Amino acid sequence: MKKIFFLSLIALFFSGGLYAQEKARTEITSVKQKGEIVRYMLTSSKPFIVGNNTYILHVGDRSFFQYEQSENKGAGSITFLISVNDFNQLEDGNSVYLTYGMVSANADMESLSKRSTRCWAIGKFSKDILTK
Amino acid sequence: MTKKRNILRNLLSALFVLCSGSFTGVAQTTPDPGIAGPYAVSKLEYNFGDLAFTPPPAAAFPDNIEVIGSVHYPTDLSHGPYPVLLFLHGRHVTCWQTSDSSVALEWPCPTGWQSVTSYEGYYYLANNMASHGYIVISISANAISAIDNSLPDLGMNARAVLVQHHLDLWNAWNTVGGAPFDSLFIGKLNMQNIGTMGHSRGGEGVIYHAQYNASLGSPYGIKAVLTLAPIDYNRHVLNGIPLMDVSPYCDGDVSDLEGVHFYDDARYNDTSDEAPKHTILFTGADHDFFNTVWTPYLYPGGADDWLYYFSDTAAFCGASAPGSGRFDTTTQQAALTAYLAAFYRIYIGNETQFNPILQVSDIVPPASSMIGSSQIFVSYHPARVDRLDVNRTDNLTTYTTNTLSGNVTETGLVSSAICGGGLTMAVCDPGLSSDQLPHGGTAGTAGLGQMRMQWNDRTEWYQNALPVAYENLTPYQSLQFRATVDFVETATDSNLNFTVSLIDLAGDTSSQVVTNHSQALFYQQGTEPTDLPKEVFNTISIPLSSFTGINESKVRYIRFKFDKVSAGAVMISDLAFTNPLCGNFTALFSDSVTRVSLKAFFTNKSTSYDKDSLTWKWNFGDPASGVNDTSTQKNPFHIYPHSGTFNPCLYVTSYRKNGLVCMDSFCTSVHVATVGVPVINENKITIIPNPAKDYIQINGAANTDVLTLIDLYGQVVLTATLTQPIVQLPQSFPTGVYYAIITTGSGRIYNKLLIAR
Repeated sequence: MKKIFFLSLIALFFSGGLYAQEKARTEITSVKQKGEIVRYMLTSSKPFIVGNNTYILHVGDRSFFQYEQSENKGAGSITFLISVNDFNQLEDGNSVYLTYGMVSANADMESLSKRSTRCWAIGKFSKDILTK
Repeated sequence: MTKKRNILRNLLSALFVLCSGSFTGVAQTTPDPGIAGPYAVSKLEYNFGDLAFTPPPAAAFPDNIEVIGSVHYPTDLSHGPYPVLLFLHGRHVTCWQTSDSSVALEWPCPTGWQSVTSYEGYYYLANNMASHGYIVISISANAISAIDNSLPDLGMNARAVLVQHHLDLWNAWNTVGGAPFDSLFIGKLNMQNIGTMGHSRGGEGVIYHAQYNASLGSPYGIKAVLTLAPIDYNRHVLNGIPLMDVSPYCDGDVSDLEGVHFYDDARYNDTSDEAPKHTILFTGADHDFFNTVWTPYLYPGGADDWLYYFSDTAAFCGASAPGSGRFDTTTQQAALTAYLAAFYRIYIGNETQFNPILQVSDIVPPASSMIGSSQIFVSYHPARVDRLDVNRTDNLTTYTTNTLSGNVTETGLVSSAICGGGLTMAVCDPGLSSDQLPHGGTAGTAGLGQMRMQWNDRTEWYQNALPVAYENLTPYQSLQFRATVDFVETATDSNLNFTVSLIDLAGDTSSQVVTNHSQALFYQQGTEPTDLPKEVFNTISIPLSSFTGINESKVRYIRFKFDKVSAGAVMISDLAFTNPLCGNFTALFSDSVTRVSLKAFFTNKSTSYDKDSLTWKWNFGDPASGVNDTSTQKNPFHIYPHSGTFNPCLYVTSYRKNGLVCMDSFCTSVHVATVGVPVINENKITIIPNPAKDYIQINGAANTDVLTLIDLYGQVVLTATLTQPIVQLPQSFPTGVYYAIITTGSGRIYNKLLIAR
């Protein structure tokens, strides 16, 4: 059984307000293949929400919804689970974004990442980052 | 043939008093569903362990799930069986540590940690409903919350089987008893009268459950489903069960209010769906305050979800914003208590006196809700038999031709279009985000089709024509449509408003100003980049009784006149006449006479809403037979004394659950002769297609049989000897209902035929 251990600061219990102050810095930490799954990990300077909406990883015109999340000393990590087959079909150079919630089919992701507190521009996709 | 309709009214409708276009002085006339009931309430818990349930393989859930729940019930269980409600919470942290109040997303909880009892957070709802005689169960689903993001379906199948498992347990306690309740609940639960509520991910979970229960042959009667700030990740569509979706405008979690899709997607996809649907928009509510365990400062992990990613000073939804529209927790929970009670007391408890609240005919909120009429908006989609769809705006052709095949015209509009996004339609306001367009489509799914109109002159209008077959509005009570202000093209201070006019055959016009009947044309509140304002559709309902000075039986046009403000834009959808006094109710019969005697058999072909109670009274037109001249059987026979022509009549009375009583009658002439004629086998003669368009094909008739088509006014419009089975239908026949009478050598067969152009 998978265990996802998650610690949050006491301050979160009292205010819940830390999230909304400024946009968290979010970046790719590791991309590792484990069996037939590529574990695409992002970390953030703030915790990821344990909510009912879903984080979505957007790579070019592809979207990925399955992930695990955890937290360590106030920093959040989220690991998307991408099949090897899907990963291999992704194109180098595609823009990578992370959103909390769905986006419109015609959304301008670059613009959204600048305007929305729930959309992060991660960078460009590259298969070279994959480690096995 | 003659038809006569006599409508008796025994309505329990609310009266609506207006005061200068403002609703501050309007009295609340509908009873308050949120007030506590007469029963004392008790509560018990059950806990079979954190890993007690192994989901079946079909649920594709890798772990075991806890079987934990609470039950609120009337303390005095001497009556019953009682209706049942089951609540399912959503995704939240699952464990907390008492030493420092840190929280975790894990299951089971680590040693020394406590589980977060999210299922307890709806106790205020359970208390209220139990006080009205309901048994209310709330179940825990932490094991699912802990890992559902790693699953393709976000754990929805697991939620469905978990709910069913709990119902199985309760079915056992209801029949044979057992630990921990022993015999307390034996015979006390009506397992055929169950309502479910799911909050957040639990919302989609109860949708899945209703479908799962149906796939098992409906062992349990799921009669009402409420989705509370739900996600709709998988876009399942639930038909055939009354549904209500509750949207909190200031939702900081599921901020795209995607639960509206449960309503939008289910409106027209299933022609046999007779289940009403509702949405509720609470303007000042957030996601978490509905659950007391998720509410800040009460339990670890509680939060104001608006603050997840949005500002505390964001206009309207930020709690610290000047003039904030946010509800406090007490108000938010009171509001939900009232409207949840209305929903279940109507569809589970059959307490139809609350109908006006959810049918938008009484828009003053119940006092117990603690909110005003500008803080809550309702959409209402009546059962199919209770509405006449004029323009569904559900596809691009409705821009010029409405659902009744009437012309759609406009004059002078700056811009207009059928839009909504998704599969075939453009996005109405492409510059807005998905959060701001909850009804919008995505790359793979359709959005809500809507008619967008922008004007910059008070002479501009938009119009739907009513074909002749639908000109008679006397059977209906309301004209309704959904609307939202297009805030992109409307000034914030415009006080947007317009006039709805009905124009009859003679050209006489009667008009009603929208804001005299609704506050739904409000400029949406708030400012938050990519999230507020939001365009949310709400129903505007105008009583047809307010349109005076026209011939209600000869109405030809519905016109929206944009004559109240000089410029603005609005989107509308679902234009319809609703709440027909008698609905789909028609008296009709066929007759056949035997070859040997003068015995006439009558086959009742009356139609009605399947939940109506009907009585029959026949008069065979043979007064000399005395008491034998009448019958109350559904399919009687009568022996006539001699050959000749007689005029039998059928009188049908329909008793609807809402108290409405309708009557209809059908009379015709029957020729009986001593020369033997064969009994008609009605099943042998069929008419296809039905609905028809350009032709009909009569199968099983003899080439000497005669077809007669009669319109609703009793006029013969076509007579044809059936020398061949195909009969062409002239293009001049408008869309509408006709009677097809096939006269054979042994009698006549009557069928109702719909011609749809």
